[in-house]
Formats: sequence, C-alpha cells, structure tokens
Amino acid sequence: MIELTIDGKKIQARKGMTILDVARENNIYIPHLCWDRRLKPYGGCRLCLVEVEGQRKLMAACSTPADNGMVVHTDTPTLRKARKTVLELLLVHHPLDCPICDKAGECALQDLAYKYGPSEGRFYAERKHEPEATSALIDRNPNRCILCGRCVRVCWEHQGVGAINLIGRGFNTKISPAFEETLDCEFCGQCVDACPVGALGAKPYKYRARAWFLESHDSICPYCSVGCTLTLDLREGKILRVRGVDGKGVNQGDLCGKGRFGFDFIYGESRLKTPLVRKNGELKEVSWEEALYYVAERLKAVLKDYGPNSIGAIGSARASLEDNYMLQKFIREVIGTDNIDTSARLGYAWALKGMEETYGIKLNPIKLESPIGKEVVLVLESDLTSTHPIFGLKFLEAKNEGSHLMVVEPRRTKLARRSSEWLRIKPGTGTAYILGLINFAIKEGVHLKKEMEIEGLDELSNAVAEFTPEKVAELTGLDKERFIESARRFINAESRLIALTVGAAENQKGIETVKAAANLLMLLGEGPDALQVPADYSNTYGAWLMGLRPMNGGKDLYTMLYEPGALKALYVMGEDPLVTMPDAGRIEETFKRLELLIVQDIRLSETAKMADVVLPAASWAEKEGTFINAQGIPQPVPKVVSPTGDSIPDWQILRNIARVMEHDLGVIEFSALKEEIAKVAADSGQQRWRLVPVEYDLTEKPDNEYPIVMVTGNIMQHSGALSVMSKSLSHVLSDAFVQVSPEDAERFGVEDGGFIKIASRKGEVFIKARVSDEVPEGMLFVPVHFAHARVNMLTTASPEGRAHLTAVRIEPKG
Amino acid sequence: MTVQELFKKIFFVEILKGMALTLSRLFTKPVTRRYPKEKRPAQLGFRGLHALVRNPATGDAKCVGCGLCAAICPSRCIYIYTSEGPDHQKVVDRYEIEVLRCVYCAFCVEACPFGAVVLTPHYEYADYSREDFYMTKEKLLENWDKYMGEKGFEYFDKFWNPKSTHFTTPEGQAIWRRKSG
Repeated sequence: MIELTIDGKKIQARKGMTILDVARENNIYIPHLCWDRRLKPYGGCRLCLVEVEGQRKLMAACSTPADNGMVVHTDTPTLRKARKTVLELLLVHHPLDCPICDKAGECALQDLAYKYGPSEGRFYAERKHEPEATSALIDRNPNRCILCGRCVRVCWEHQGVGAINLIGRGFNTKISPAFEETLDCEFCGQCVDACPVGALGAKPYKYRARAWFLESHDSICPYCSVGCTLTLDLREGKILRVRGVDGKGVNQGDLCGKGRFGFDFIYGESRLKTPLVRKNGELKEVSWEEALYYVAERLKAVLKDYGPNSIGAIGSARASLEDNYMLQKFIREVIGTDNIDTSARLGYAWALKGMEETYGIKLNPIKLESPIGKEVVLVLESDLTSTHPIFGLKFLEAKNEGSHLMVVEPRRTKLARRSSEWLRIKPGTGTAYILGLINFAIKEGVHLKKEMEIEGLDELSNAVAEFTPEKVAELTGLDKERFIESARRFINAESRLIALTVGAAENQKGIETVKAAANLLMLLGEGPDALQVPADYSNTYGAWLMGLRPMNGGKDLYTMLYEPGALKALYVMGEDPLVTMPDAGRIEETFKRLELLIVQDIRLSETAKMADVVLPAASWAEKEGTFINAQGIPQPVPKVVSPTGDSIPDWQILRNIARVMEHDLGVIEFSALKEEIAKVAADSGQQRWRLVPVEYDLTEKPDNEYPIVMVTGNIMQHSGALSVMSKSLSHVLSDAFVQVSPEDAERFGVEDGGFIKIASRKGEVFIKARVSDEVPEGMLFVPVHFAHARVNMLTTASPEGRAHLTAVRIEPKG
Repeated sequence: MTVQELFKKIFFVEILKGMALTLSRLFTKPVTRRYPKEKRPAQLGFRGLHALVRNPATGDAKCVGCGLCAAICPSRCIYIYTSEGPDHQKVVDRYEIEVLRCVYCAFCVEACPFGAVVLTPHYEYADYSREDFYMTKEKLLENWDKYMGEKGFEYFDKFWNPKSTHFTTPEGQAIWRRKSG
C-alpha cells in the first residue's frame, strides 16, 4: 500500500495503480477522453493532465503511476488553462455539426468543451474526409474523429480482431480498415460504445432520435447463456438501440454483435399476431377463444383415445423460467405425462451427464473469470468467441495476462488466431487428442505425484493404452513432437483449465469429449471448476433446472422427434426443430404422422408451418421473466415494450388452456408463479470422482464416396432461430453458406461464391460456397440456422450423445 | 341632513353631473376598437401561432431536427422524428407541435441554433376541433408563408435576434460540407 495526496485528501492506494485509477476509485473527477478501463494507458488526449508537486511539467494522470508521498492537484488555474488549450486544439478540425450528430447530448467532447473549453477557437482548419457509408451496421464519419484511438485499441487489445487502425498522417489521419476498404469484421460494435464522439455510430440508430428523447431500461440479452446486461434505449415504446454500460452486469459493459444489434428480432416481419388454426389444410387466423377451445378439445380427444403417454412437449431454451415452468406443470399436471424435453438434450444434457458420470456432480455452472490466472488454458474444438462471445473474451484477456492459451481446433477461429499455441487437428478428433493426453499423463506417472486414489484408474489406463503419441499423431494429423510438447506443457502446468461447448448445433463433440476431459483433469487432481462447459442459450440452464426433461422415465427428445409414431400429439413451445435440430428429414416424417401438432412461438417458424394450431407468444422484452445464465445466476428480464398483436406471454397461454380444459393449475398471477418457482430446489449432487473409460470412434467415417467431413455449428452473428429474424444482423449475413478449404475447392472444382451440391448418406442440399482457409483440407463448416438452406437434412442425430459428424461429398452445381 | 344635501336630493344633481359626462362623450371619438372588423397589429415579438421558417434557398424547412426545442420545451409539446435520407443526410420526417399544450414561452425560438422555429404575430386561430391545433410540419410551414413570408426575416431578426447569428461558424472552421452541396 502507498499513500498519496490528491486535492488535499490523503488516499491509500495499491502499488501499480495510476493516478487516474486512484482518483476514480475515490470519486475525484479528472477529465479524460482516450482512457478506457479495459485498455492499456495510451496518454493520447492530454486531457487528464494533473499537477504533481515537485514535477516541472504537467503529468498525464492515466499513464503516471501513483507513488508514495505524491501530492497531486487536479483542478488549478494552470490545469484549467492547459485543458482549455487542449480542447481548443481538438476542436480545430472537429466539425461543429452537433445539431445533426447523433452523439450530441452524450458526447464527451461536447461536455468537456462546455465545461472547460473556449467559446471561440483561435485556429481554423478543415478536414475533408468523406463519411463512409458502405459498411454494414457501423457508421464512420472520420471528420468528427478526435483520433483518441479507443476504437482501434478496443478492437485489437480487447476484442482481438484488429479490423481498424489509424491510417494517414497529420490532418489526413483517419480510422479505417486496411486499404480504406469496406468494413468487414465481426460487427461486435464495441468500437461504437468506445467512441467518445460521434465518429462511430450504430447504423440502425443513425438519425433516429436525440439522446434526450430516450429512456433507458436494463435487460438481459436473449441470445447466449452468458446473460449480458443490455441497456435498452427506447423512444415512445420502441427499442431504438442497445448499449453496454461500463461496469454493468456480468459482462461489465462488453457486448457482442448479437446482443448489440440483434434486439430488432422482436420487430421482425414474421412475428405472429393472432392464433392460427388449420382449416381445410390451411392455417387460418382465429380468435384466442376459438384457438383455446380447439386446442383443449383436440388434446382431450387424444388423451381419451391414446392416453397421456401419447402426448409430448418440447420446451424452449430461450423462453423464460416462468414459461418453461408453466409448460412442465401443464404437461405433468393437466396431461399427466413425463414426456417433456428441450433442445438441451442434444448438447448440454450430455455435458451434464458426462460430468455426473465422472465428477458425480449434477450441475456445473461456469465462472466467467475462470480462465484468468491459469497457467495453461485449453480450448477444445470450440469457437467460444462465436458461441459465447463475452466468455470468449476472457480467454483473450487471460492470454494477455500471461496464460498459455492452447487451442485445439481445426478451424482458424479468432481464439486460434490469437492463441499461444494452435494445434490444428482434424475435425472431430479433439477427443482423441485428450485421450492421448491421458495416456501420456499415465505413462509419465504425473497422477502418482498427486497422492490420491480415484477409482477406475486401471480400466481407464487400459482403455487409453492404444492412444500412444504415434496413434494420436495419426488420428489428429498433428506432428508427434508437437503433440508431446503440448502434452508436457499441459500436464506439468501449475494450474489449468479445459473449456469446450457442447452445443445443440455442434456435431464434432459429444459426451465422450466431456468424459475424456473430465478424466484428464481428475487424473491431474483438478476439480470440476477446471472444466468449463457453458450452457447453450439464454435459459438452457434455467429450463434444465425447471425440470424440462423426463424425470420419471418419460420419452426424451430423441424418442419424441426421431421415432415416428411414438407420439400422437406434440406441444412445441418456442423451438424450431425442423431448422435447428439434426436429421430434419426424420423430424418431418414424425411431424407428418402426428395427429396434433401445437406450436407456440413468436413467429411463423418452419415447424409452425406444419402445425395444426399456432399460438402467438409475446417475446423477450414484451413480458416479464427470468433467465438463468450459464453461471447459474438468475437475472430478471423486465417488460419494456408492449406485446406484438394479440400475443400474450407463454405462461398465460398455458394457464388459459388449462382453464379451458377445466383444470385449475393454481396459478393466476405472475407473482404466484414466481413464488412457486422459488421453491424449486436445484440439486447439484455430491462430488464423487470416478474415472470412466471412454470409447472413441467417429460415427460416420469419411470414405471414398463421401470424402469430406462436415462440421455444423453457430457463427458470430447468428445462433438459431432468433437472430435470423433480426434485420440488422441480416445486413451482415443473411444467406446460408458453407466454408470450403482452398485445397478441396481446387480438387472438386468449387468456385468462391458459387453454388455447390452437398450430398451425405441422408440426402443432398444446394448451398453457396465460401472458399476460405479458415477450414483445413477435408472439412466443411456450415452454420445450420438458415431455414432455406436445410442443412440439417444431411445430418444425423446421435441418441447416445456421441459426436455425430457427417461425411459428405461436394460438387459444383452443374 | 343639511339644506345642501336636501337640495341635491331633490334636484338629482349627481345624476345630472353624470349625464353631462355622457353627453360630452357623444361628441368625442370612441376609444374601443371594433375588433372583428378592425384589427390591431401585434407588437414586435408577440408570441402567437407557431411556424417553421422556410428556407428560401431550398423551399423546405430550415429545421435540421437537432431537437433542442423539444429538449427545452417546458410543456413537452414538440415532437420531432428524423431518419436517414437517400443521400445519408438527416431528414426531418415529422415536426409536430401540440398547440393546445403550448404555454407560449418561446424557449424553443431562443434555443434553436438555426432560427428555424418562430412564434408568428398571428393570434386568430380559434377552432372547433383538437386536430386543428395539432400542427404538423406542413401546417407549420404554411403558417410561415401565411403570416410571416418575406417580411418575416426582417421581423424575426429584429426582435428575436436569433442565436444562430451568434453561432455562425467562423470562416475556415471545419464544418461538414458534402461534396454535392
């Protein structure tokens, strides 16, 4: 601890803090423009100048370390004069177009000029850059730029992208992508929030409202499971933009593209406004009353003819806790069956099952800060910065702080590019790599040093005996020495972490991957905290806790969807299995054989088009609710806008159906529902470590006829059914594509941007090719969530929860 | 009662005095104005009906939609909706004033950095429906043509002395000029 004096106040501070840090901690105001909490000090704007006694010149508070016995003055006539001059110089070439600039009213430069600045400048000059208008989502006006470089640094240092930089010299300096091309980045919009002036702005918000017309509400992001706090800015009941506010929420103000620009899905054109009932083969608009009576009658008929066990329900990983709770209450109490599940079955459920079999725990929430401070961090075949962007950022942060970031991944993802060590394996062989590590660790005898006994060691060492470095090198395509080197580093580290996702859309990982990783960590004496598997979507974790899964031998998702005839009636709430789940052909067949398909959704999805009844539900921000994020933290989601059309919250729909079926669920109000939910106890189980042997085998091996492995997954801008409804996100990416490696493109005669035919053992689809060296030879990567591409017609589901890669062949469309 | 008082009472002296005044007024010019037929010109700076200044150069409103008038308005009766035009310029789609809620403080006129909104000397706008008092951008521009027109600028500058004249960007200062304009 050191002690210094700021403005006559004695202050204790930690060593290594800058004067600005100390001042901020003690609520002493020092103006600044180029400083950002997340970034290294830059000292570019010279506004944070302070007087330090004993120093001849003024010091920049943001980059001067606080020292013991320092005496600092933050507001003296000299400083005010210096600040005034600095502002005068900044305003030399800053256009005074505040009346049309969207930043006016919340502009740091405007505020400072008002506080310290001159009313008239002595120097005049003009910059004549043309505002850039071609990029999607992010609007750049270089004339307004004060060259503080916050956007550049946040993009490179914090976001790990480096899409923009300062180019040119002197008056001609501006922020631009390389060669002044159109911006082509991940469109996270962090630069927009970082910009203190109006040089960078969000295009969807451009000229829409002045800052003082807006009212702000905090909400939770509906996309991934990180559960970031969004600050919604509304004007007259319409959300105009989303901001991240520094220090707010689990994300501390960071947001990704989906969170920042994807909110407009609630204004999507395909939103349902009235209930629809199929009459003479066509979906017709009907009143709520008619729809509810129709549903009740049909459900009663199925119940009478086939019994409760012929009815099933699929909940939603995106709907709130309350909605999901009500669905399972409805199914269990009114229908009287246990046939209920969510999309978590395809991914996160296997992660939990894997951890239960090994660590003995039933829940393992992640910790966002977990990678920071670990010696080795291993990311296993997961594109974390795309699926969970803010969690992904922590890995970059960990690397910046000195962790060794190992990325085992065939695709050149952002983490792979920014890693310390990138092991480019063949797709789907991440499990083999981990098994190799286990074998290596046993051979090295590392586990013996830990002096602890875990049951199952012999079985495990037998099972992994074949995964010698040679075998692993052959399977994964890595160099043998490279493998051994990486294995040594991982095994001998002081602290370590394995992170992976097991997403519903991903097919290269499964339960065996989780079990292998858990085995390895147990062997090295690491607890479940060292295995970070985040849940998929905003409320996957919550839906799991609410009992949206068969608990007493009911039919699970695989039985309900992939065994035609297993059910007679299906209730689908907020899920689009035909697009987002594998083996869509089979699901379609199942749906055709159903007697009653009820879909309750916010839009007319592909599944809804096949339904007998479609019930419109109010979406996120249109109703109150709660999301539980991957950290297990329940966060309230307030109602900020009015529902679209006649839609009402999901839980109310279910309550109303129950009423029409003359069954009292005992819940009338939202508060009563919340009270009931509060009583649901989460059982996280007791830790009981057990090593379990893991079998490794690719389900579909590439052969001569189908030589390429197709990997499916989510991408940065899109993840499932919501994002494709967003107009803004569709500006960035609206068409389905498949990534083909340059080698394969040459081999099969595929052109960049041309349509190709992908054929698997299940079927074939036509899709646009993008030739990219992001994927290695022999691999295709394809995002699944574009309904028109029907990629899931090619894939298979694996009821054992194993990785289910698809072997395909490609040819240009003739 | 004295004799004097009695005398006054008997001969209606007070009444006659009054009648004398009435009689004298019959021969002087009347001071009342016959309002609907005879109109009194408003004084400089009278705060009457609102108008948006028409820019003689473009024919459209001078307003750029900065929203300062709406920000300062104590009764919150100004609504401005802007959007991005085809040339990526700012377009004022709607500029609306709810006249019935206006308190005629003229803060909006003072706040406007472009001298684009003004209260005209026109004061005769009583009407039968509320809609007639909901001023849209078109109506407000029409008001300018009707009640201010060309003479308006002179009147406007003389009395309101709009802030825009003080804040004119100095020659040579960076402003954002488009290539086309």
